[in-house]
Amino acid sequence: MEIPYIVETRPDTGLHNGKLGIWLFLASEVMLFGALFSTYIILRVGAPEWPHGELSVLLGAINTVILISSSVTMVMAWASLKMNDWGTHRLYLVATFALAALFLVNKYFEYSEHLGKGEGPWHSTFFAIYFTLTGLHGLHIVGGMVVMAYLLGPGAKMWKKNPDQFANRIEATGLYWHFVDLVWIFLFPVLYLL
Amino acid sequence: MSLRAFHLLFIALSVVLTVFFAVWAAGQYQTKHEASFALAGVVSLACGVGLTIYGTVFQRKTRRL
Repeated sequence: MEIPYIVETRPDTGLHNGKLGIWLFLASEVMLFGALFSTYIILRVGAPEWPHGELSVLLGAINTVILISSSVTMVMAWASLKMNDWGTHRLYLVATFALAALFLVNKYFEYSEHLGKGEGPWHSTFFAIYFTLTGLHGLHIVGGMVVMAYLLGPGAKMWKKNPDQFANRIEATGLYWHFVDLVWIFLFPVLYLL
Repeated sequence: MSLRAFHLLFIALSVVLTVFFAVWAAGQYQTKHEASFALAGVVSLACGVGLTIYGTVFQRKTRRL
């Protein structure tokens, strides 16, 4: 039996299975990060004093530029596919993967600097919430890279068998990637600037 | 929501961030008088203008996707 609504949209929801699934997943992610942001607010409001200038604004700003750029390359990968330009799609997806890797390299240097000075999660409430939020975000970046690697490797075969379903998968990946980037858009000012 | 619409929302929020960063940099410049903060503010505003132009062009060119 063939699974319905893989490519065509379901009349009552107006969505195909993949898009409904990714939005349900992202809703749970909003709750996860929402709980952690709430924790941050409660800790900060309750603290007698809160450290400022502990993090490198330059590194944070560079990572912000990297992630905004990666959202552009991700959406271009999807748009190229919709225009049946397979070569350009691959190029943009590889660029997105490379930008994600660059973000993690930058984060590695940032973490190394703090840990080298003994400023781990155990150091203070600020560093505990900093490592929790950015660590979880970093894991989401790794998750996105795993999906992109699959779509660049074995998952790419689907383009020949079912191009519409493959385009839907790229769109779902793009939605996830934009969510991860959006979390950073909130993390950067909250942790680095305020 | 499609990826196209989510991308436009993301770009709009990124523009808000660039404005916020420029205001933050201006505040830092007023208290610390370091030229790097003034430069950061200007670069951030320029990025905001660039993203606004990009968003407008993207919205127009991907209308049929």
